Amino acid sequence: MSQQRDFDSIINTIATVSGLKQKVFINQPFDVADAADNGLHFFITDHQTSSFTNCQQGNAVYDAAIKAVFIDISLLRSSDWMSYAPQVGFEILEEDMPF
Amino acid sequence: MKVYLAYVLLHELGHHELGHGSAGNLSYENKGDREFRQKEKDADRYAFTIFGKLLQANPMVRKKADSIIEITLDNATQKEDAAIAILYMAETILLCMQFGLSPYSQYYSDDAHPTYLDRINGVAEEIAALPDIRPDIVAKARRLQKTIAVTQSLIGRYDIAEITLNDGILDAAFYPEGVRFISTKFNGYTQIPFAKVRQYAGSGLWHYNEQPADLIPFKASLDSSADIILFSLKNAGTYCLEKGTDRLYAVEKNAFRMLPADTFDHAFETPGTVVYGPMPSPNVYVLAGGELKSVSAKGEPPKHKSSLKSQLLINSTCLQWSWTIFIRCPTVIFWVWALELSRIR
Repeated sequence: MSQQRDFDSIINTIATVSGLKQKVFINQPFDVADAADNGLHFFITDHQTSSFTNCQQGNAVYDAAIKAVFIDISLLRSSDWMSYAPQVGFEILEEDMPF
Repeated sequence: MKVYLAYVLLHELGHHELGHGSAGNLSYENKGDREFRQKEKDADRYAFTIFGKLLQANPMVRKKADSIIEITLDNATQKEDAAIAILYMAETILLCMQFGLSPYSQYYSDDAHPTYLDRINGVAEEIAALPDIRPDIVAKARRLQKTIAVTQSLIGRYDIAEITLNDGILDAAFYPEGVRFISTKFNGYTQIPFAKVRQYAGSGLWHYNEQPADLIPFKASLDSSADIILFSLKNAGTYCLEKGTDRLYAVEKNAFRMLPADTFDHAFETPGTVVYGPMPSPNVYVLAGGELKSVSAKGEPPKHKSSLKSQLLINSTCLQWSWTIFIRCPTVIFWVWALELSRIR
């Protein structure tokens, strides 16, 4: 859930700061019946769906045809680090992780 | 603020806002299109520019940038703020490429994407050349460029192999034909012969991704809380010492075999700790009882035969062939320098 919050927060922040005019949709399906759905979609994906998204592990891609950004979930997984780090004696605070 | 995540999202947003076609932050299907490189550069520039604004808008990010790049932001002009943001982001990206979970590293490149080292070097060069900017910011940009140059030069000086492992590692050691790792799961060791490592087409970079068959499970007489260190003796094998004890094991297929106390010419004392020995050598140094001792195997060491593939690989390169292993895994990055393999020839 914290990953989702981070993701939502970053997207909303960069959309505001960049002055993006279009509406942003985060992990929401396309609604062809909704004329207002002409914004930019962001989807968290898994590399197993790369045959459709072209987004491999550790990557992100922009699909101009459907105005969507796919971002691989591994880029959000700082929590993996948090679980490994204590085993090798590192003390890391999640807010210090730049990933 | 997840800096790398923000950068990647800004890069993709750049493709959208600049009216580019479909594109990726890294590899993508549309390779070979000459326009792609320029579009990627433009998307990078867009990301860096917006990040500058983000820094100004977010006091927390600004404070963190201040501490990381050791430049005070007080009284900085808007241009200097942006430059600092870019340097902060560039350093963070390098860190993430090296330590992140992504299989891509700072050395990765393809037809559309230069390496991240090149991408970042370009923006650092632009910052250093900016007129009316504080000297400490210019100096910081130059230092970043030096770091990039040193990192880039490694490929020319060594054969670098990137080995991506599935789990974190506790320790690593060379054996004559390859390298071994103990994972944090403590369920065995991963053995990767150099012969398995392959070269990326058109680059000086070698790579290997761990396969399930590379893990050799063992019935460990060690428990998962044991504090261990691996070391290798030239032509004698890989060993594991339980830190703070004199318990010594040979790393063998399917098992850690406990060795008798007189295996080496000096018995390990309590507390014994190997302080040097990641590379196969005639002896290792052991800190025991506050004294540094050289320890070597007794008698004539067994002869190891290197594989035909290894021989060919070595002979096809140069006389003093060396390896640098760049291991990428979720926990630890090990830079293990310059294993001289010439003795195997």
